[in-house]
Amino acid sequence: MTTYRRRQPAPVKRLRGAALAALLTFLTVPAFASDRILTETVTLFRIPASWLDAAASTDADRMVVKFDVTRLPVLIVLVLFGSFFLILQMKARSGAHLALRRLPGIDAIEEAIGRATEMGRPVLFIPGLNDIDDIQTLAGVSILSHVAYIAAEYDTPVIVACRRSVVLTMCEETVRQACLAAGRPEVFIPNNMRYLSDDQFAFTAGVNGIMLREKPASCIYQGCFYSESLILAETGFVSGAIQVAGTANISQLPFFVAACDYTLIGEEFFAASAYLSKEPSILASIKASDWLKMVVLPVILIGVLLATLAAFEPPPKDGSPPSQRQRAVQLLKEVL
Amino acid sequence: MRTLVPVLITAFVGVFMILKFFLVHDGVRTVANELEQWGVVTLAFAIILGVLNLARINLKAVLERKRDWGYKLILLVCMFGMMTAGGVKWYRDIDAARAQKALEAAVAANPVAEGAAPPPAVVEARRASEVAEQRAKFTVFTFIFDQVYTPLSATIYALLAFYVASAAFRSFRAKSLHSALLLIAAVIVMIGRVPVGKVIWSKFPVLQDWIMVWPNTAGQRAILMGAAIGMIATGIRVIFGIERPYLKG
Amino acid sequence: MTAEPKPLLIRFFRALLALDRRWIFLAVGALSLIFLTINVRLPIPVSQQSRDMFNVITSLPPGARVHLSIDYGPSSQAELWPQHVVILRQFFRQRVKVIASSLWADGPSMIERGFREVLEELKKEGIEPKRGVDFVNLGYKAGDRVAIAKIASSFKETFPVDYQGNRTADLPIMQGWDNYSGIDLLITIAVGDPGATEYIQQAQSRYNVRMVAGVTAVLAPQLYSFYQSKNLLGFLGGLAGAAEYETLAGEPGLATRGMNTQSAVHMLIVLLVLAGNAAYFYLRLHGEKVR
Repeated sequence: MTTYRRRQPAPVKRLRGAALAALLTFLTVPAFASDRILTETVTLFRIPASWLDAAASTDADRMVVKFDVTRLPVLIVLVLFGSFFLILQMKARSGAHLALRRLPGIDAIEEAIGRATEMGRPVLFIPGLNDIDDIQTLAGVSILSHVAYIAAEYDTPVIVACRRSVVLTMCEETVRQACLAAGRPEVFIPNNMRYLSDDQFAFTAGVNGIMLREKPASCIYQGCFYSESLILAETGFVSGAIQVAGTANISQLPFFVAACDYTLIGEEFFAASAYLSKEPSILASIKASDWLKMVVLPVILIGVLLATLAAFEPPPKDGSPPSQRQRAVQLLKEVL
Repeated sequence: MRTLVPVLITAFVGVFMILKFFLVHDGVRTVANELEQWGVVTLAFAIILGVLNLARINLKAVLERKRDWGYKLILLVCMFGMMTAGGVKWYRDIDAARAQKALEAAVAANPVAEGAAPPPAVVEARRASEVAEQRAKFTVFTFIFDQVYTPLSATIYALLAFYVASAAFRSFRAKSLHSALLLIAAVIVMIGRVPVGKVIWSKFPVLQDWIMVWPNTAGQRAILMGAAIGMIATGIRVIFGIERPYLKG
Repeated sequence: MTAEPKPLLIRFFRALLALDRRWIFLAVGALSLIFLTINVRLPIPVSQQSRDMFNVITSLPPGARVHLSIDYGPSSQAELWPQHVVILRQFFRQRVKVIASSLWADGPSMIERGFREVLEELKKEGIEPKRGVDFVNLGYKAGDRVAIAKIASSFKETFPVDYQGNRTADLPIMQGWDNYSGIDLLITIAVGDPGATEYIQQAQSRYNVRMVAGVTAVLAPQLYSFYQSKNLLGFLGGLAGAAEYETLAGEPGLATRGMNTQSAVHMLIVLLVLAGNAAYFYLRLHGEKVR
């Protein structure tokens, strides 16, 4: 089992990230000259005419593959993340510890299951309201897998309420597999995997009904939630359940924070399954996110500084090119 | 094989979508659009899975006379009743569209001089079209949608106002510096956002606006950026099969 | 030995903290009912984002094409219907062509209701836009983000027929354009996901189309960053946003009336929170354990 050690990133490492970001920014600035800097497309390669049939090869657009330069910042972020991830994965595989701060919300999930076991009542899990095309739903189902595994070990039933039928199928399989992995296939109850309604408030009413009738000891909300968040959390509170929420939906965070016992906010929610799984490659991706932030932060600071300086400069006269500083600010605005 | 195939499909579709994002090329776009279309169709069809799950669980409970079986029976009756009503509405909509087209065809085939009475064929087609339109407009489905579904949904949404009041009363306590700041900001925004705020003190709307535009946006952006990086990490884990929530076990 | 009786204030504050939430519900309900019947016009302060949205819409020339995405259902109509109506009315008065669609299954019914009610009102002013020529309801498209991407690439392919079953390619309003390069303004009136944020990500930022939005009050804080970055040229937040828009349009309506109730309930919540804190600190000061 992986052990965790609290370790702050060394200041030198932070400086390295800042220097890299600054270098990237200033190297890219002189490369563009138009008003809006990141507007061009560049030809990546031409497709040989022999690859296409005769009719298609006469169409000039189909013969060239262009790169959309407006998307360059996203590509840089992806490449940086990918590189950090590979480096950290290699480190993890070579046996190095990946130090991650422990999150109280994650411990709370385990506590919540423990409490349900003590009280002999079920755990209610809701993987958000969205379909599987939402990354939050996938993150929620990942957490469900661990919740179901721990609950199966304790012989505690898990009720899963879904708003989307594809998510239901996925959750059903997830819980079944988790029970099998825990060596307790008999704990899996198919009737506890429930699709309620595609309609938002019919679903909310259905979940409230489950809370009030079946009195789950713990309610775990992990995924994308909307205006029903407070209605669910308040009903959970009234039914006396311990509640742990997690979402990246900023507008609903205040409601969960007010009404639940613990809330995983934004990136904590995405990191939760990694914390619970303790798999080195998944932990490496969390660490890579932290490294990426160490790069993004200095870029923001430089942007703020440059924008402040540019604000004091007189605006360029008609026809005259903008100053280097103004172009740098423009580029940073487009990048950020 | 059972694991490998889904992972490969995910990786293929994921990489293609990433390529579509970065590359400008008709071929890439066509394939990506086609994949998106498949996604839409698959998700739309999946509703059948949900209906089957609802029917299975509730029908079993009704047949075995389990606790609260009466509610489950109501649910089943409503579900199948609404499906039937929807089917009737769909048929009538098609019928109305067909009658409208027949009317247009009749008008085109029987040109009428200005001031002259329309020929019987047009009058008949117009009457049929009006009847079909009325039948499409007033259906059981429309009645249930307007008179039952709409007020029920609005009622549940309106509960929010009541729950906000009780949750705010229960949990807004200035127990620390942070919670005190949160409390002060919340009070200013709540008062400044409504007209009475301006009546109490003319600066409330200005203060409210300042809180929303600056501290709020700063906080939102910080959470948003963290969440975006988290999403990138999760997305890459899923695309490359490092984390497989859809095959979890 | 009997316990010393507690002072009245301590007993009162204890009772206040232990208040059954149903009393709060009752107070909210009663205030709402009372203030709905009171016809007082309070001055409505107009925010910059609402003013900008009004200016953007006002600047549309006659014949301009607007993609109006109605992304809400009956449940949230209390907040969004007033926005929907006042904006639609303005579009028709300015002779703007309205291409309406929805990413929510119950959205097309709201679109139809909007057209029906606004057209009936405008008939009195002699404004009678024609379906298929001046406005169209393209109906619902499933698929959330994917659907937005599809709409952005081709309206006619995404919606081969309109809500009435007519072929979209044959409609006069759909001639001469098929994607966002032919749209002068994108507007979504949205309650959640898919909604404003998804349109910004999938359509506005990709195709650089001018965009404004009307959302519920809960979602509004999220849009300030998009407004600052000019992805959104303006937006309305909840009933208050609709009331601001009605003030700008000079047509006080549903939202303006609703502001009395909203003012009263906001004040009630503020008083409850302040009273709760007063009780908390007073009891703590007197050595009581309170949560």
